[in-house]
Parts: sequence; C-alpha cells; structure tokens
Amino acid sequence: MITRRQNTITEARFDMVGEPLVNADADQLDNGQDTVLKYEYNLYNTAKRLYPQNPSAGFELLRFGRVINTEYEILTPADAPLWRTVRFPGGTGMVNLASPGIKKFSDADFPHWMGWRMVDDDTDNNSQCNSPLIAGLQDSGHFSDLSGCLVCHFPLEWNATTFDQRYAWLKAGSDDAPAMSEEDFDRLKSHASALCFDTGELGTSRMWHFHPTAFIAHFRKCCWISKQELKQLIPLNVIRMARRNSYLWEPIAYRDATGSMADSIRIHLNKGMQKYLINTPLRIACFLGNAIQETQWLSQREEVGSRQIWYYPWHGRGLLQLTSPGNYFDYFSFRGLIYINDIKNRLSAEYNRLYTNRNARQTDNHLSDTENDIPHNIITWRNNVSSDDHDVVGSAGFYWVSAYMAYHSDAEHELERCSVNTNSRIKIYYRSSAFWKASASVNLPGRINTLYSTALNGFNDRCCVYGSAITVLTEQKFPDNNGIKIVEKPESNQLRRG
Amino acid sequence: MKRVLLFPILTFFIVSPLFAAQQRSQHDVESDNSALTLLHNTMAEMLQKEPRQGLEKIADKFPLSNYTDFKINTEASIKTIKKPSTEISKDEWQAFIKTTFNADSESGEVNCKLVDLDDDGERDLIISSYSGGTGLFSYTGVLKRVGDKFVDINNYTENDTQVITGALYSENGRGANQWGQWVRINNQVYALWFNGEYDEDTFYLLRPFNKDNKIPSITIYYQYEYDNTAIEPQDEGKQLNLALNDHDKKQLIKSLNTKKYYFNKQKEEQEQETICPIPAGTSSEDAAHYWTEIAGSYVTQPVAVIPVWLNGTCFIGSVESYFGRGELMTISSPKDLNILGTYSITGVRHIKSIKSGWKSREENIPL
Repeated sequence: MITRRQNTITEARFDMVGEPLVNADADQLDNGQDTVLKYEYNLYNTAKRLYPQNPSAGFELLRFGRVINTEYEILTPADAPLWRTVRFPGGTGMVNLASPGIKKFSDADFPHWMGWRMVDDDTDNNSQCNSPLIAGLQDSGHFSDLSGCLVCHFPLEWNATTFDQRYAWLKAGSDDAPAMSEEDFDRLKSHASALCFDTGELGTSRMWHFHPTAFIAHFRKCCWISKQELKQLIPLNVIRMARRNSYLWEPIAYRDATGSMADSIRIHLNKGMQKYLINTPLRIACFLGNAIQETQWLSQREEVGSRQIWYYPWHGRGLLQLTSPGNYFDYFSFRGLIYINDIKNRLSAEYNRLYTNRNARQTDNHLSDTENDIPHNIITWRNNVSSDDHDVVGSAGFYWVSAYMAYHSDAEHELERCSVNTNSRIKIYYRSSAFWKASASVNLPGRINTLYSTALNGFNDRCCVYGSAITVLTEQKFPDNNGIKIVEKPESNQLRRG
Repeated sequence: MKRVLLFPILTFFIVSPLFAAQQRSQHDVESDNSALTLLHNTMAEMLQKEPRQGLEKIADKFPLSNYTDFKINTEASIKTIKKPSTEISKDEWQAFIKTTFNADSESGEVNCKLVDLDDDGERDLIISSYSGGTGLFSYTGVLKRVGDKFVDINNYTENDTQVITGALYSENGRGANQWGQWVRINNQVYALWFNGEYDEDTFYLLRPFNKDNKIPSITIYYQYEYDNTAIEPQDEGKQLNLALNDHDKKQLIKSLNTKKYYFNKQKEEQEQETICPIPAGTSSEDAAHYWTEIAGSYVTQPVAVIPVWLNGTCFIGSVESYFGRGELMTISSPKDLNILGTYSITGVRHIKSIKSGWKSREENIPL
C-alpha cells in the first residue's frame, strides 16, 4: 500500500509518503500453508473471514475497492467496510476504502497521481517542444522520471503535407543552430516524406502522443487475452501418454467460431482472471495450461460421459472441473448462496462412502437429486457451473485462490526441455517446477512437492499448452538441446497461428 | 476444492523408530508365491464360472477378520475425540492417541482401520484419506504397533514429501482405473492393489511392512470382440449422432475388430499406414491428420484410430477407453479436424491369458 502526495513545487509529481506498507493488513488468521503471510495470496481466506455472507463479493471489494460484477455479486451487508492501513504524513491509520466518497482507479484510468499527464500547452505547429510544463520539469530535474507518462499533443509526424509547416524554421536558423540550406532541407523533406503514409483526415491536425515503450509496458499490465491470442495458446498438437513410456502426438481440434465455447467464454475468462489475480503472464500460463487441458482444449464445460460416472450429478464442471458435493457446496458458500447444511453433509457423506466402497458405487448409490430431494435452486446453481460462463470461470477462480495457485505460479519458471519418443518421431515439450506445482495443485493436490511424479494425469499435455503460453505471453526464451536459452518458440512446430 | 493439511492430530512424540521395514525373506517369498497361486486359481475359477464377469469382486473372496473401522476428523481437538467403538481396546486407544501422523485430506476426515497386519498378535493401524484434485486421488498408509503407539516403519526417514504417514499406495479416481482393498490370503494380510487398462488388468499383492521393489502380481490380458450391438449413442436414450447405414456399420465393426488399428509397441515401431486416403494436393502439414487420432483427455486412454466410412467419405475414428470400463469413439474429419460426433462402443472382452510374476513397484505403483 502506497500513499502519494502532490509535490508542492512540481505539481505533476506525486511523492510517496514514507515507505510502502507491505502486507500490513495480512492477518495470521488468514495465513495459508507456506504463503509466508503474504496478503495477496491469502485474499480468499480474508474474504471468507471479513465477508462471510458473500465472500465472492467481498473478494471483489478487497481486490478492486468495490464490487465490479454487480450483475452477479451482491455485497452483504451493502455497506460492508474495507478497512486498510494507510500511511499519512506523520503516521499510519485505518481508512474505510469502501466509503462511497473514495474514488477508485485502476491502471486503465492512467491516474494522474501515478504521473500520467496530458500535455497540451505547446500550441504552435513547428514540431519543436515548447511546452512550459516540460520545460518546468527539466528545470526541476524531474523530467526523466516522468517523461514516460506524459501524453503530449502536437502535430503528427507521419503526414508529408504538413512537413513545411512543421520544419520551415530550420531554414531560418537560430542561436543554437545555423540555417539549413534549401538543398539540405529538400533532401530532409524527401527522406521524411518517403517514410510518411496516408494519414487521412486525422493526420492534418494535432494528435495525442504516448511514449512508445512506456505505453507498451503499461498496456501489458492489462493481460487481456484477445481472440487471436487465445487461439495461439492452443498448441497445434499435444503429446499424450497412451500407457507407461508410450506417447502419442495428437492434433487438437480447436474451434472458436461464434457460439463455440472458446468464443463465448473469452470475455468471462478475461474478467475472471482479473478478479482472481491471475494477472501476470506466468500466472496466466499456469492457469490456462491447466484449464485448457481440463476442458479438452476449451471444448467441454463438463466431464464427458458424466451420466455413467458414479459421482453423477456431482461430476466435473467448469474450467477446472469442480467435482464432488463438498466442493460444489464450498463454491456455493463462496458465492453467498444459502442452503441447508444438512443437504451438504448428507451428500458429502454419501460421496465419501461411495469413494471408499467401490462395490457399492453402481448398486447402492444414493447421490441422485430425486433421492435426496435436492431443491431446485441448488440444482440450478450446480448446473450453472457448466451452463453459465460466469460460473464456468468463477468456479475455477475459486479453486485458484483457495488452492494458493498464485503462490506456486510466482516461483521461478526455469524451463526444462524434455524430449519424448512418440508415434510420430521425437517431440519436445517444456516443463518447470513452478508449472508442475501449479498443475499438481489442480490434479494431484497431495503431491505438490513430489516433483514430476508420474501419478499426475496428463502433465505432458498440460506442458504443451504451457509452452505456447510462455511464447505468447512472455519474453522468456526456451532452452535448446544444449540447455542454452535462445529458442524463441516451442520446437516441434507447436505454435498455432493467431 | 478445499484441502486440509493435517497437522499431528494428537500428542506429538518424536522418537527414533524401533523397527525398520522388513526386507522380504525366503520364507516370505514362498508365502507370497503361495498367495499368488491361490489368487490366480481363484480368479481362474471365477472366470470359468462366469467368463464375462469382471474381477472386481475377487477381493471379497479373501476377507479380513478381526478389524475395526472408524473415522476421525483432524480438525477436532484431542479433548473432544472419544473412543469411537467398543471394539477398540483401551490399550489400542491409548496407543492411537499417542500416535502422530499426517494426511492430506480434502474434507479433514481420515479413515482408520485397526487390524493385525503382520500376525504378531497386536493390531496395527491403516489410515487413508481422500485428497481430491481433478484426479480424485486418495492415499493409504500403514503404521505398525510398536510399544505404546503406532509407528511408520515403511518411511522411517523423515520425508517432507510423504503425502500420508506410512504411505503404501494411492488410488487415482479419474484418469485411471485403480483401487485397493485389504485381503487375507493364507493368513497373511495384503493390500490388493488393482490397475486396469483397456487390454490388461493387473493385481498387485502389497505386504504392508515391506519395502522391496519387486511385488507379486497377476496380469490378465484381454482381447475384444465387437459385433452389431457394439455401437450406441453416447448419451443414453438419444439418437445415434451420425446415423450409420448397414454397409457403413458393417465396415465400422470390421475396422473395430482389426488389430492393426490398435496402439501397441509394435505399431509404434513399424511404418504406419494412413487411416484415410490422402487427397491429392494436400499439404504435408495437413496430411499428418490422415494418420492419427485427434487429441483426447486424460480421463480416457487412447486405444485405436480407425477409418470410419460414412456414405463414401472417410473420417477418423478416435477410440478411447475408460481404462477397461467401456469405450467411446469420436469421429472427426481429417480435412479440417471438425468433430462430427461421438459413439459409445461396447465390446465383449475375452481373456487371452493370465500371467503371474513379480513386477517393479517403483514403475507400476505411483506414489
């Protein structure tokens, strides 16, 4: 948590008040295993403790300072506070950030107190920087700190028709530079004009200009996945284990046309990843490396062949295959949905009984809705986990935060090149211990620290998606067969075109 | 999916273990071979009586005796835990509450069983817990009664990665066909651990307190026969998605019964034929789709890729097995990988052979 205060001399500058407060509001009561009392990793526990009537809405309050998904989430009580420790000149105090009088911003707002500033005080058209504000920053020595955040209004450089208007002053000369000869000016104009393009109507006027690299760096914080980027995350082929030491190289049938799962879930996926703090390239790689595989390449919202499965109708649904009555009801609780505990206890006990008594699964199974007189609303909530994309994503986000997957994903991703002999010659995939732990927390939660245990289902498949995600979302290079990190994209022609 | 890492639930004592897990003696080997023979013969007898039945109930032929089951919730305090059964002696209960163990449990519950595992006259402790995850995993561990408590002698070196104290085996509930059940054969208690696949089932006899890598096992090898009744809609009661005319159905049944379309080591090593003919002008990249099945999920095991002819057009049939509990076939176009539909496939399983022997624990029983 950082407090900033406007500089009394340089008004564009906002200075930090004291040192940042790190994990100041972390509570020992919320501390998950191994998460070293880091506030963000334990937000799920904090939401459950502080907002027990609707932890999911409370999670949004903690995450965004207000409830974002108002269509789905109702904060209860509506005026539930968000007390956070804040530094002020001379000390620290508690502030209720949920108060309506406090405005909430994100990076998307380009907040001025983070240095973002519109500069339009240079009103001539001569392509010289004559902004008094910038001159003031230079004089005070703060220009280099803030230059990347200045959004400046001046004529477009790529319009050949305005060249004379912008550069005629070169021919006049000044105290700093001698006058340019006509010949040199014509050569410069010819060169610049060759670089110009048809800018249309917009090109004749003044335009707002961002600092190119600062703009890209800022936008990368967004992590919004476009349709093309999502498509690129699905590898062309996957390495799948048929049996021990036997691998197949299988093409993936990916569809993202209108009405497909991949198409309809993308917006919910992006929103959900923002909510559940799946908001760095490596976290996204860990999340989607598993979610894409668990949904059979974004084609299935629920477990295939579910009616024949002994735990039907509490079978796998959602991006991370929420399964079993206990997990469904925990998700309902997280969403603030109210049910009678007896139903949860009865179904959970039956699930556990059947799990341990395999001979009873088909002949003495009492999980059905009719037998348990399950209320209609519970059936609807459960079915929503595969039919309503908000819950398809939300159930996986719930799992992500409750299983501390961000903690595992934030570890170093030291990529290891693995080759396997498949039915279509030798193929390559990439793994890391960080991705292993994230995958184990999805599929094999008891064995997170047993690196690369063969018990984990479909780890090779997951790694194929992970490799594509690393390529698309990060600048990380892959090791070649000598272990030197120089390879731009996964070998074996895995990467799908967007 | 909630997980609870169970801390030592009761009084925590740290002492050096008094016994190390045993290595198998010659007497044990003979005893295990004898148990293996009995198990083998019993299976053969069961299959002779009912050739088409599964062997899931084989464990019921060798029931345990003199055992007590109970559950504990690890979130409960020592002060609130009461002796759950009159079948547990005061001495056993005192030993239990002096014992420390850990287990990864989604619900916080741990199943416990008291039974004499090594015929020393004292009942030992079996613990198992459901850990969950999308693999629906569970774990079982064993602790030997030593003095006034139960001790892990299988994994006596402190091991942070141990998922359950005294870890013996795991069960993968989705993505495999596995189970474990305790049996008594020739007065020796074993965990009978089963791993099923499409064309073979293996039963392992695990001695509870033995760390040898070689495990006695019986493997049953199967072949399948598909007839006119083999193909059904994927969803019960629905129409067959992609109706088959009589000729196409006959062709499909024939392909399902053709060995060359099935994955096996021999096939991987030899030159393959295309499944569907490659049209002229197809790029080499696209031509690859005429050779292979489309990607499936870990929930099923890929077993074959066959040609499916529908009104004169060849499609790819990707046959997947629920690890020996039925098959499904996804039909896709090699031209554009478009999925056209899915059939449920049910074949008649015939036993080819049954083999007894010793297998590597490390390679076959992931823990």
